[in-house]
Amino acid sequence: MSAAETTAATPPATIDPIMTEVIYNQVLGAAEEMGTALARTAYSPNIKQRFDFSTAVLGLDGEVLAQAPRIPIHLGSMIGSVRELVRTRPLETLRAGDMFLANDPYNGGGQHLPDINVMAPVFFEDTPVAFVANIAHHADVGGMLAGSEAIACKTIFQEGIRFPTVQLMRQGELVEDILSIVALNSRTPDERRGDLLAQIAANQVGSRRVTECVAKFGAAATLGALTSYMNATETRFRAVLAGIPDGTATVEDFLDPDVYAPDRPVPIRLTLEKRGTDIFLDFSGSAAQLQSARNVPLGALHSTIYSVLKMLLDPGLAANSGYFRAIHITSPEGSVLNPNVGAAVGARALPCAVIGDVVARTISELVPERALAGCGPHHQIIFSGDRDQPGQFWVNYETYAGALGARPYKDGVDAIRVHASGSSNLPVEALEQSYPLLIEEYALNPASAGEGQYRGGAGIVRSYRALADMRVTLAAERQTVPARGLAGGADGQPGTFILNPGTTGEEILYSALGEREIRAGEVISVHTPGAGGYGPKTARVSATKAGGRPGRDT
Amino acid sequence: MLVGIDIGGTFTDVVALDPRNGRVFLHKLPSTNDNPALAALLGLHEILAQSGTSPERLEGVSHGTTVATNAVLQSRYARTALVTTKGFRDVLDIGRQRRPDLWDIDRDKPDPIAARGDRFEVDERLDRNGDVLKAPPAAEIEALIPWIQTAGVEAVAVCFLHAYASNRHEERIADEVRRRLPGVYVCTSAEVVNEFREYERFCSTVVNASLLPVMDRYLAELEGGVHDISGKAFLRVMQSSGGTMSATAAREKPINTFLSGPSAGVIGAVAVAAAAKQDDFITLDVGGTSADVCLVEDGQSQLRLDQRIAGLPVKTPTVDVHTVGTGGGSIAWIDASGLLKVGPQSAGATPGPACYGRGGTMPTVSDANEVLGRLNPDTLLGGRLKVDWDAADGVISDLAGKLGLSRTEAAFGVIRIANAQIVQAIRVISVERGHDPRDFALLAAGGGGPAQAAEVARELGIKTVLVPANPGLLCAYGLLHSRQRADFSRTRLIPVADGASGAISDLRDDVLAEVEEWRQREGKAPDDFELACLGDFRYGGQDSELQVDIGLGAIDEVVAAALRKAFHDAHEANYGYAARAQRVELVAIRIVATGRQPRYPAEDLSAAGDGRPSATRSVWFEHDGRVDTPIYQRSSLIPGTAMQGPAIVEQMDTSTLVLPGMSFTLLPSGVLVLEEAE
Repeated sequence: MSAAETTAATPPATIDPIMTEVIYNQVLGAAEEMGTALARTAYSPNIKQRFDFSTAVLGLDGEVLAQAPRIPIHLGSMIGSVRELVRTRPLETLRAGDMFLANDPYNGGGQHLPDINVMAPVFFEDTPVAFVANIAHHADVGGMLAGSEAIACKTIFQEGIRFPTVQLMRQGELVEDILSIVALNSRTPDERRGDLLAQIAANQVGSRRVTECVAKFGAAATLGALTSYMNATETRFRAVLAGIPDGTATVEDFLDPDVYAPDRPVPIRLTLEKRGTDIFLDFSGSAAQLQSARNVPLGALHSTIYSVLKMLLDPGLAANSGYFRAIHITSPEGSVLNPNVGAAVGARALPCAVIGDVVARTISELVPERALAGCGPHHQIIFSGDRDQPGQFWVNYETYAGALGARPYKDGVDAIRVHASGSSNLPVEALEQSYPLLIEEYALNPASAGEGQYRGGAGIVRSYRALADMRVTLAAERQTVPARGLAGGADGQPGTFILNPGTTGEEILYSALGEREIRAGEVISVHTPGAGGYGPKTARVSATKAGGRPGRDT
Repeated sequence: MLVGIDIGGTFTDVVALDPRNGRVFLHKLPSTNDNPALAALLGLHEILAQSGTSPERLEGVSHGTTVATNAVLQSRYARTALVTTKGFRDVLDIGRQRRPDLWDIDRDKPDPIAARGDRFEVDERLDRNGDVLKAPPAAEIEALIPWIQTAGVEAVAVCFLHAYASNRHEERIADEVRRRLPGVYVCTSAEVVNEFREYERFCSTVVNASLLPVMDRYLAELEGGVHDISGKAFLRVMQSSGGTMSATAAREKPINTFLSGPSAGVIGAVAVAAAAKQDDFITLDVGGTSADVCLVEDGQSQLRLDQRIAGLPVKTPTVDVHTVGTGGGSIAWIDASGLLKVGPQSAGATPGPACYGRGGTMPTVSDANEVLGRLNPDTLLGGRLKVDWDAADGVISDLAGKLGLSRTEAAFGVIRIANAQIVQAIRVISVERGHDPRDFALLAAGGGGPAQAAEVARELGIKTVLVPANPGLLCAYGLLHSRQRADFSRTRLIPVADGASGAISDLRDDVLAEVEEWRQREGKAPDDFELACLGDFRYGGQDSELQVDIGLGAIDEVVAAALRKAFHDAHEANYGYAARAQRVELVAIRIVATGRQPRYPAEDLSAAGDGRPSATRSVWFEHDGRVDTPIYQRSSLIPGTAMQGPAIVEQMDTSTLVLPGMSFTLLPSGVLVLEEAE
């Protein structure tokens, strides 16, 4: 039990501590059942196996009542799409069996185009009572490069097909035209259709479950209990904040230089103030928006902050809007963390990892006992090639784990997804069954870990030999600016992409490379960044595993 | 005489059955956790004496074991080396690169057992078809032997990439180690999990290797003890799949025993439910710290392949038992949000709930049941445990004060939340797997199941609740009704296009050859087993499979086309759509060999009671409040006579709550049935 959980508080008189718990658990169960249905019925590996999706039940005002996140960066991210839905389609125009789709960050409340939101109003006795919604990452939604999130994109028009809020189901009837448009615009059309049908099925499951709950307890009691639960979550988070001394911390870190301005660093500056039971984050002083696709729309910024604060301050906190109310975020318009309409945002997950470090550093200053050293963000390669039939492609989208930073009481974790990111790897044997690639090495890279009293986690090395001609598109952060150590701990080693390592043709590839041709027989190797250490190395006490087994030092 | 022995953390349960007349003998003794074989053998001797069985009449023993599970959970496995493909020794650390917990970043990845310094890389490589890209160099094999000796490891796991497609390199290494170092335990990944996806296969193989010495020593002792009684008696071990294996097979595959006890419980439930003519039911086994639920359809439990132990994936067929941290000892507490929570912390057996009078000071589910009048206020366990009712009243009153509720409201709140958690667990194994729980009965087991079952059933719309004669001995009982089972599988990616029938047939022949080899090793006749053959199919590009029955008949192009269609249909049935124009792939073939179902005469239970209550107690119900409720002793019920709730039926190891509006009947088979009035 964490400290927050053992403190027995007297509940406010307005909350029924039993029915609130019972009803919330049913609605959370509905969100979880949606997730199971989505994973079960989805088509593409990215959704089905790597769980790159989330499901939620939201109030009519777009507040998250209960969410079952599978990936932290989706936490709270459906707020924007539901609010946009309600803004463009007044509640009185919605009908039972309606469903809507959106992905545009500027006109649909989305984060980036591959993440497609599907939302449905839930009706009880002809009255809308809530929304169910899910978000799923589609491996390709068109655009100039396979995968639809290449850093090289200069505007969102190059990133793929854009949807404002559009109708996907009309009173239970599928609007086939929308599916046709998505499929035609994707390099992998069959997957898109199967995945969208799965998103529809998930909402149908959720809608049915929420309706059952309302039928059982009544609309007023159900919504009252869910509101109470949000209030209780807010109360719990504010109690945690009350236990932290007031104060302000300002830190600066850097994204790797923009592909179109390689000589200029990209500062991310955060002033975090904890005052009473509120927390204020101000990103003024951060760089102006980039010309490439590493801009972070507000939705992604918010989700990252909600996730990292929950991890650092109260991991057991329920995933609903209640605690978001104590968090106040400011980021100037036109900056890299709140770009103007039209900016490319496809690769937003990478800069979000650096934002995670920045938030963690400010918390580390204010609450030193919960410090977290800089983390190694993931790297990404999108492989693509031609199939035998003309006009058909294969696309293999892979992300590679970085490492978790050290804490004041333990080593970091090797080879793991950090902060708001979270999807799985693709097994070597599955990869080699499906694509013309041979993996020659898949290993930890101990040298990448920042030394210290507590050591940062190690990144990985993964080397591919191409068995056919193909193209690769790369994305990364922390190839020039390392994950920082804390309290005297060393920085982690930056990451790198190397073509034909150890040969005369060895070449360091640019971290934001667009489609680069790779010939059959060539080798491409990814080294992900290690994480920062904590405390001076001289203070390290070497740990031996149980039974005298030799650990990583050997 | 057939004997079932199930070892739990607190008690070792022994059940004996005389196959001539169906007579059953029961025995319970304290477990000996340092060496579980001691209590098992003592219990065996005692039940033979109790039933007056002469040694030569012992036919055999079926055993539910926790030896492997506890060895992993307590890190008491053997020091183990990994021998693997060059460049891949860290697969065990990298895993699937996901966080063990999405939000708690202090949770470390599971300890992979074979430490990094205990891993040896061989410069060999196969491709995805099992063809050799690089053979293991002789010099490296030569270097491996002294390395193993110096490393001081007791077991070796040999795991090469794509070994599911060809085991030739693994076998070469394993043979060499076995020949040169006979004292070292060895297993290969192709032997343990003959399927693709390297992390799960390597990890399963390392776990298995690390348990080989542990299981070998344990079973040697147990088998020796059984053979001391009768040299002809068999010893079988229950697997996670719900079938038994010979002690010899268990020594090679300790990894198959992690859910030995719970899967025996499910088999016991199937036998009990069959006596009550129920084939479709959900088991609810509530112990002190957790509740296990499992769905059984057509007398078959569902199996899954993604079991984990101590965070490590172990790919073995496992009865789909879902566990939630809600039991009789689960503690009720108020979190910082001011909401009432139940579990997962538990008062356990010591100190136990406050009502046990052993110093427990936290309110638990059992205490709430006491306050509501649902458990006997004087004694439990047939008089062996004296109840401290005032202590239960005190802890619940205290909780009520903090919540600003009455004592009864607080007590029912605890029960309501506990039940909601159990209901959610049942939804996971039913609704989330495409089943409607209303089509199933609920079978209550464990000490706590019968007290919660009626309310849980009503919440789910389930009309029938079954309570076995001995809900606490279901696992041991299941061991008597178990069948032998062995699972075989092999991965090979075959596009199910025109002309694929030959490749499918060849793959099945390969697996059948393995079955035949196993049958001869076990010394069984071909008639002793039924075979079933399934294929794992998927759409090209997908990464998860659906199983379709392939059968054992000849495979020609017509059959191959029928398999393709059967997969489309299965996909549509399971997932709501089929992509009939899409390429279909066969990924693996599985063959299950199952022994014959034992049949015993039913035990004669004609002795009946007088049908009168032993007492009346004030019991609290949700819509009726306090009701003077008759209390029956189970032994006093008249078989076949239906009675009306509300009521409580008490017996040695449990109390069954019957709600107002339900009837209850003791069947001649000894099963107590609760039914909702129409």
